[in-house]
Amino acid sequence: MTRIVVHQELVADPVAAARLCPFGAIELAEVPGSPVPELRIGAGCRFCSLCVKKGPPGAFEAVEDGAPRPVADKTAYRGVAVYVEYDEDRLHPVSLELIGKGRSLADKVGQRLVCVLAGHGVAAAAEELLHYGVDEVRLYDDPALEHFRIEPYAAVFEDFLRAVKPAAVLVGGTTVGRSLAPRLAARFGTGLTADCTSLDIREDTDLDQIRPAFGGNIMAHILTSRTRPQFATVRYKIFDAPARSEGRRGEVVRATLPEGARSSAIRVLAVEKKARTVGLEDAELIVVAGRGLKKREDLAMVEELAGLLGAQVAGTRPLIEAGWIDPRRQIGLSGRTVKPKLLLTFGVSGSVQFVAGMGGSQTVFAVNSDGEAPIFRVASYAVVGDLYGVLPALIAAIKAGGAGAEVSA
Amino acid sequence: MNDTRLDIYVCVKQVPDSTKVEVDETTGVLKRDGVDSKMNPYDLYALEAALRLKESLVDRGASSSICAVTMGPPQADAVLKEAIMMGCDRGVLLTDRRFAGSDVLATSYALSQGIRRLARNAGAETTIAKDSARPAADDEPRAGAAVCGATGTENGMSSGPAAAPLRGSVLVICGKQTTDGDTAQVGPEIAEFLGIPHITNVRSIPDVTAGSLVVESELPGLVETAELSFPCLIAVEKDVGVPRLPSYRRKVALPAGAVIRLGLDDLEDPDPARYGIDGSPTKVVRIFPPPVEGQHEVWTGNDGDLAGRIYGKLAGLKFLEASL
Repeated sequence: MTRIVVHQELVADPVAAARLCPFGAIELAEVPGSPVPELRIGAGCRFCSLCVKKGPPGAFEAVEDGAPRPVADKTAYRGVAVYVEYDEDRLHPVSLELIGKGRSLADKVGQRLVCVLAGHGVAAAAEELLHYGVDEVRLYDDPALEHFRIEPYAAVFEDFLRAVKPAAVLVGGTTVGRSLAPRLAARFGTGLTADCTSLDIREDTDLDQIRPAFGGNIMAHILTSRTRPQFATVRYKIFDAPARSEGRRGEVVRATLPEGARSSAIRVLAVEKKARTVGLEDAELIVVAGRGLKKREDLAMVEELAGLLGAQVAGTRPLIEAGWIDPRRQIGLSGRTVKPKLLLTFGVSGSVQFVAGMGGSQTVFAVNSDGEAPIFRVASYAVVGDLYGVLPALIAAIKAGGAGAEVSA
Repeated sequence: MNDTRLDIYVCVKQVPDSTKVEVDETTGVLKRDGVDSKMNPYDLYALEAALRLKESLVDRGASSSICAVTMGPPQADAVLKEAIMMGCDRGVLLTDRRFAGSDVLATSYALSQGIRRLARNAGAETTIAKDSARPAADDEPRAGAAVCGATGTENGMSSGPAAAPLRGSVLVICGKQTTDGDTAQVGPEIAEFLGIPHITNVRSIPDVTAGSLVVESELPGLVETAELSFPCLIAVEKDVGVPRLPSYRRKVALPAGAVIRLGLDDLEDPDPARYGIDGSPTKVVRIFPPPVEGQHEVWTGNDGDLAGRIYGKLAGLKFLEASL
């Protein structure tokens, strides 16, 4: 058992020492008959060891007693596995991104990249994966897998992992992946690191996993060095998808559902395609038009850019009041608060009321001809230029890029 | 087992009130603005879903009992009291120094063990408080149990014999995720440890009976309506309904013993190797500030060049996938 031992006699200032702990787990306990409180490690301790490193020298000590913790035989688990999702009628793009990352991890340790694909009528999709650099695709194609139900899918995933024994398993951070991966990690009694933003592999196949913690304000570097397989989930658009090659590599191996895998306590009653309408608040990409737009017809350019990016269109108050844009598409204190990953503004000056509604945006490009426009203070990229020149050129560049042409930036 | 009663367990968590946590770059120490804490906001929806299910069952002449469960330090009982003020029947705090340092796996295992213990006692509620579980007012440290040597298995984790699946009319409800850990993984892991099915991303619960419930859940590109029978676990979205406010009247009427406390020795599997830092396969080896984001550049030039630079940056940041 690991624990932190406090050597009280080495602590000159207990109150200051208690403050060391970011989790408030160093508690001050009254000692009868003594004016000096005693320090105790409470249940909130996360074993970050900050007190050991930053406290008075020797005052906090990390002690391991009892039997040493067991460690998996790492040579018995080899290769990288990717759980491939088939979403409606396409391979989910996150799966291809994971194949790209999985390939480079596997190559680094000279091991194999194996994928698992489960579903009904997905044999062609399995063949398609051979164009993306995998060594093997295990295919579970069965009517019982038509709808995602946790028991059959978990049974298939387990069957795959027991057969392949990979060192690391990568799963997309989708609704399905986030439901399935933890289930399997628990079944194997192993670690799962969710939403990794960076992955690397060591010689002994330990994954160096980095993920945001505490609401994204801190990055944590996480290891799963005692157990196998190691599970990591990764969200869409974190890694690069490999280009499809004409040549094929690897093979598709058909596997059958394990015994009992068809039973489920879940009965799917109806499946309805979701209309892919995203409210402004949920939009990840937004293009905003401001009163720098001279006439209503010019909105077409903004809409065209939004269409190319898969972004939503929004406007500032003057455009809403002029009736050019639906009031539900207003950003600002009197409109909606948005928090997209990308916000592009064209001809937006950046009033206080507007900025209040978009302060959480991750990356902001602002195009305005007035170099003093307040929007530039909150923009990641303050582009001083005329929207009537920049916007059409940007649209043309994206169209040319989409056709595979080289565009010099 | 009384089939007309549904026992609902809602997993809740106390989280820091502020997400403004930063790393001091020179000392490497985490800085938090104050130490205020609150109920994880997503859990309020889980509680609301439970309360509505109970009301709906009671309307049909069935019955239901709601228990809020959390793991944390002794002061985490505040979120259980809040849950009771919202309408839960009771709260259970899993607290033990040997739970400290738990990652997702160890947390899920402890919660599953707590639920097993409660479900086993559900028929005889009065016994649990008198049993080894004690009222929350009791604050003395627990005597240490004998430390069992961990038994190794092939993949490195110690594990006892596979526990039997949970039985009976039991529903476990979790929120979508927490605001501090943000992993959304604890629900499915609890379900696995209980040996029961689960559905995540539940946005509405159109029907419930004493034997099953019908849920609508979000899948990529789809909304699925499914019936699942008890026992089971669901993780709910905000769409399940606006959480009611805690009632002051219920606070005043909070009965002694409404919140009870369970420690490691109260659980079916008291092997310390499965809990806390020892039962946690993941280890945080380093925390560091994220790459600087307060990026600010001013670009000038002719319009064509500016457009080219925007294009190049958008491509570099991977915002052009939809156009390909």
